[in-house]
Amino acid sequence: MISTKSCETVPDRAVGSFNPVILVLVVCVTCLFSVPSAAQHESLVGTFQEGNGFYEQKKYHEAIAEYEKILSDGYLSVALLYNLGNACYRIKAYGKAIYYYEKALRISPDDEDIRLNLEMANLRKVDQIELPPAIPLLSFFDNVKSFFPLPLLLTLLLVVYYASVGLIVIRLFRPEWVSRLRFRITRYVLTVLVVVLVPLSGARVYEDLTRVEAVILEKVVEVRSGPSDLETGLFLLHEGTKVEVKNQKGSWLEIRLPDGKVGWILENFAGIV
Amino acid sequence: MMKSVQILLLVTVALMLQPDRGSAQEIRFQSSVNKNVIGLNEPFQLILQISGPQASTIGTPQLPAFEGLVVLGFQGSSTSIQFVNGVMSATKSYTYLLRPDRLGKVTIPSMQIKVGDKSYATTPITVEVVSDPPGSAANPPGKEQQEEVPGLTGDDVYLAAIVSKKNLYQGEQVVVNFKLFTRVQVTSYSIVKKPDAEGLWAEEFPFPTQPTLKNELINGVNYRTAIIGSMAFFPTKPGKLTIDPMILNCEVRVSAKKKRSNFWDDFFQDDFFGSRFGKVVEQKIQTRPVVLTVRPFPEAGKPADFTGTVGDFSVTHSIDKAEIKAGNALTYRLTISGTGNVKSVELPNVIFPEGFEQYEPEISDVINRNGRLISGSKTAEYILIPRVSGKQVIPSVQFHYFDPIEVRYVSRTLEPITIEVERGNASLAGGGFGGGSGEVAMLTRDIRFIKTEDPEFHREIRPVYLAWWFFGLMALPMFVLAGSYLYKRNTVRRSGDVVNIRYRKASSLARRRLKGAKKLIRTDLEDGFYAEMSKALLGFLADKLNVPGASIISAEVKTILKAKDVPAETVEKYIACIQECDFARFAPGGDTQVAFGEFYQKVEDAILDLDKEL
Repeated sequence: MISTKSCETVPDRAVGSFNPVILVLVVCVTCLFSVPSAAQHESLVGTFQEGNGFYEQKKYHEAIAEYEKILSDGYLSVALLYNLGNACYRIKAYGKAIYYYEKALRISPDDEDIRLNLEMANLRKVDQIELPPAIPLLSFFDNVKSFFPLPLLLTLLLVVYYASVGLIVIRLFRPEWVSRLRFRITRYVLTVLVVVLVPLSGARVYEDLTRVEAVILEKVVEVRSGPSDLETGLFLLHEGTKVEVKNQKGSWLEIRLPDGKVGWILENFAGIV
Repeated sequence: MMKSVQILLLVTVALMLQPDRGSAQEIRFQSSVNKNVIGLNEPFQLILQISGPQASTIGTPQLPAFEGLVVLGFQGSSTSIQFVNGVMSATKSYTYLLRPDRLGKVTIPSMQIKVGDKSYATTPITVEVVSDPPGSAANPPGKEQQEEVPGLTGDDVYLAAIVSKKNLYQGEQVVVNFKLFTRVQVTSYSIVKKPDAEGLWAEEFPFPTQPTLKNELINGVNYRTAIIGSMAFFPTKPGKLTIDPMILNCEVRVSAKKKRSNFWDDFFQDDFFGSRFGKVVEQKIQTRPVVLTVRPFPEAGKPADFTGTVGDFSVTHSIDKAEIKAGNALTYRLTISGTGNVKSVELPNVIFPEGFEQYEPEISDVINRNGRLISGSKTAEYILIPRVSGKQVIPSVQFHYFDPIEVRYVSRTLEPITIEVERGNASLAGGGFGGGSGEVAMLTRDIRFIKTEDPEFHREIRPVYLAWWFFGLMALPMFVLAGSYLYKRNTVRRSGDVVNIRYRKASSLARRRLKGAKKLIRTDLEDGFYAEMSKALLGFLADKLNVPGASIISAEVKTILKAKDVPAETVEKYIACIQECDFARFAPGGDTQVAFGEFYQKVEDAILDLDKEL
């Protein structure tokens, strides 16, 4: 079986508040070092393909061992997480499968393969949490907000942004075009798009940055009313259930279910997506 | 007197408890004693019984000469008559009083009677003559010590648990019969406690309300016996397991003659009924605990997926329709039946093909308690909904059990069942049943295959909006914008080109002048109004065409505008406005506010029209 430990060695995405300027610097600097050297890349790809070979021979445990070697080296990729998810699914470790799919989906939210397989794995999990009835207006806004996948939204934002800047530049160099009808219509449309897209993507990015989710990896976990073993057990969660992490205290996580239930679990029992 | 009481007693017992049928058919000749351990010189009874259809017509049997026994005399005879299924049968008993005259084993030899040309003989009885007579006589198996009740000796009535076998395998069925032995008349009984048994699964056979009565000789003493109930036990673990005693409460009528040792006691103690029918006493009796030795399952030949089913079973499976449309429900039944502990039978796991949607099976069991052994069947009923059309095969099912009699494991294999699934109607296949259509459709799908292309590996993968290239893309236009703005400013400053600035400011200047003129309409400053309008018209033109304001004259304007491809109509309108302005300024006439408004509108239109063309 795959050990829980190896799941924790997966490098986690930065979580919490951030300073954009520092972040830009950090990103620029880390980018220079985060990509493996050519030789290292060769060996990582070799391990990955070995894992794929095992998978094709239906030796899923061996495949998982290979894939996890890459993770424990500190490297990851969407394909790696996805394949790990598949191998876990095949050995019926649905909790881990969901964990890896969610992790992959977080990096690449518009990948259809991941989406479908996650859906399949979710059908196999124990806890099928029923959502409370949605409030009509709020759910409408939520639907609008989450209608586009984030990458598409950001692409749209970039297009509108470039168009607006282009318009300003044209105005600067060809002022006589400004009074033309086509120019004016373009300006109005762009203004509307900016007014809609900027807050929308802002909200989505903020949500994506601050929302921490975890997937239950143990077969059954007792959720307690406080961050201690002595607290009363409130309810049970089974592997594969995705929860929102609200807070952390020591080795305890405060979690929240989609239906509003809140409680504490030990962080070892869940993998942060 | 004594004789009549005996007859009465026999008749009542015969009517209360159904006698054994076998005795009614043929002639039987039996001898019995009332005790088989006798003190020296203590009298005892020898009873000879002849039963059969014509028993009453047979003469008194002759006693042979006994060795070591003295016949004290003939005590009397009694006859009981029964009708069983219309056939009359009689039993005639002769009672003799005997006395042993030496110690040791004394044998009452076989006695013979002749009926017609057939002779019947009794079996010999051996009695033991001791110098110190014990309180008890017979000592049959399975009897538990019990409290003494006045008027009853310990052997008069007792209960025994008769076990078919004491050495058995785990899970093997063992039947325990609870048998009541009595030499006295039991008027009624009630079960106080049925036996508990730790480590054993108990199943009851129905307890008879009217048990069948039999006559049995136990060590030469005649007993009436009845099986009052049976239970089956299934050991659930190996080792020594104990079946606890069964406790019975009996009401026993103690015969009056039992106490006739002292005439005066008898006289004072007996009431009216007691003197005629004996006295009813309550006696609590119980069986001895039964210890079973349970062996574990033998390891040799034990199948890997053996679940502990013991007995003798057969297994069948079936479907209710062999042809079905996708999306319709069909029932699959798996039945295991046979002797053994049906309730604990674990049904084999059936793995249905992926193309079936399946629901939790409904499991039911039927137990038959009417046979000699507990038997029954267990059925699992699955509701299946095929989602994929084509040939679907329910795979073969294997079921293993242990046969304790043959001491071997038996495997039963069921043949696979083929189901022809026709293409169903889409709406039904989509999800007429249960969950949402999405969920149903998903069950027939599998996860997608792994990604096999070489991926890029990273130490850390940040979401798109934190990727460096995204920040680069966001920053780039800002640099472009700043650069182009700076460039523009520099070029304008270097060339000192005012033409461009004048051109860009022409429209806003004209608009400002028109606004100023509008204010003047309200203040009725006629002269000022027209002056502002003129300035707006001429100024706009001069700025747009980059000519000094004063040099504008109509003819010149016309040629320049025509050169710029401005339509003649627009030009005419514009020039008309200028001329009207000039005329009004120098020849003021009391124009109304309405006229001002109209003119203002005209000028504005003219400027706007020209603006569009230039």
